[in-house]
Amino acid sequence: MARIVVLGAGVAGHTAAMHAKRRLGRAHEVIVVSPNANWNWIPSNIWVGVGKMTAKQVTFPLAPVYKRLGIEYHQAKAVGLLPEGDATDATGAVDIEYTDADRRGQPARLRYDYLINATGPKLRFDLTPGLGPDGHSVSVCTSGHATQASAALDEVIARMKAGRRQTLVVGMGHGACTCEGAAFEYVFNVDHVLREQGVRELADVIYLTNEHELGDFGVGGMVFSQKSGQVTSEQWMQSLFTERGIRVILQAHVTEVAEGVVHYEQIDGTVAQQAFDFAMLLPPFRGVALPTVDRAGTDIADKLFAANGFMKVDADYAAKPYEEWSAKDWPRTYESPVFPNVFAVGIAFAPPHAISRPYQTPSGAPVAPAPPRTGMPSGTQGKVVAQTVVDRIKHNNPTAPARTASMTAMGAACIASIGAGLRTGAAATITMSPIVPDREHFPETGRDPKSTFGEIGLAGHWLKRLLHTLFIYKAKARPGWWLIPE
Amino acid sequence: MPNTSMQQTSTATSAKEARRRSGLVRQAFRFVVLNLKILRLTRQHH
Repeated sequence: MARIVVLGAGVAGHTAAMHAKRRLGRAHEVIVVSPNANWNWIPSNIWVGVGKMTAKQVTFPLAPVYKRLGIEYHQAKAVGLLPEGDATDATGAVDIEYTDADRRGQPARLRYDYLINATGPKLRFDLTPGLGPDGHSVSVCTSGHATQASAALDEVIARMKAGRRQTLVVGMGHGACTCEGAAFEYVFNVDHVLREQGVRELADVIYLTNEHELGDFGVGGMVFSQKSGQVTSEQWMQSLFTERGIRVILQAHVTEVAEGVVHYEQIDGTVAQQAFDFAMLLPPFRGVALPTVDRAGTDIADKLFAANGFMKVDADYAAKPYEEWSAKDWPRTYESPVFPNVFAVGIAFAPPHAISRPYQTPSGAPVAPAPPRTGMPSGTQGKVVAQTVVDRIKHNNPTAPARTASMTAMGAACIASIGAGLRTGAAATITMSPIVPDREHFPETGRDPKSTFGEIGLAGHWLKRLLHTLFIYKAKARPGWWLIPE
Repeated sequence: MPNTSMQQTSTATSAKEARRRSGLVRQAFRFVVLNLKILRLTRQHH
């Protein structure tokens, strides 16, 4: 009987665990370790953040789902990795510490034949002084944070209804942030809600970002082929921001968030501050690097984890300038090069470099969007790695060829809400293929013009609302869940 | 004497409603197209 341990129950981990269990049945064990009791459909946290949904609508408890599927579930955080086993047993192991009420703080050691690291990001609010819910800004990264953001927004709306002008700043709380798409969604949803409440005229709404130009989204921007010709995502976004009267601060690294003031630098050397009454600023991500030892107890963490805490996989990590970045640098199998029974998927794997060209301020601070790993590629990676592991178990061959899911050969759809409402809502629906540009196959723009597309409209909002229902249905493992694509 | 003012208002309201419905019909069509575009993406080999 083989044991697969999955660290993390987000999109990548939960998908991996469900597909693995479905294919292996009762003959083998699938174990999930997650510090969270609930699954969260993160894309809808934006709507929680503007009061259009509650936290309950975007989360559900994991334990009953895993029990029904026959997946062993430990509500715990991983605190150590022993890929060579220990003195008593050469089988790989992960040390965990329980986070549920009954066993909080208690340790355990779980053995594995295969490990899928899907821990997601560590939210590093601490990298910018004053950033985050414990500081002076709000966040929408978790359903809890988003609930707080909604309450703060309500206070600001109340002040505007009393006749007071308010300044709202939304964007990136550090020059190396990712998830620009989420910040974009949030600023437009805030704008939409302010209009619904009849107070938009009293609001200065500002989008503060580390992107070099609007429409970059951490993927180097896109070029859409339309009937009228080609249009860049920058042109597309500029017209949208202008239409909605949202001011933009580009190329910025936030250095500090004080009470009511955000301090930032820009790549042209500008050092400035922006006063605010409400600020939603996303944190930079790092990986959840685990203390890792060999059988003798010697630290070998740097063999598995990059300096940024993400796990190294089959990518080319040689440092090289932007001009030498290539699609070939990106991983295909997500297998650790050191331990072939260890995989990292979703945000947990270490990308070889960014996708967008990196910049820095004259003082050396990064203004370099990190590469996004959104739901679609994360879910696909989780499923494909699960299939690799299942192949190896079923054929009793630990070195059977791995299946592939390269972001340079995979497309993604991003539906960015710009306002919720069955008749009044809208979303920007974007497809791009491949996610990571491949200039060898597509010399002109790096992407396939037939599959790289953008459209704004009410239909996009209906689609996003449908995906909310569909993916929660799928994550709850309701009948036919496997028929819903990642 | 026909009440032209009411008729004009009624016509304007009907025209507005017709525009609203044709907008919704167009969006319904776009909804189907967007779903098909995304489904096509999910069938890619990678």
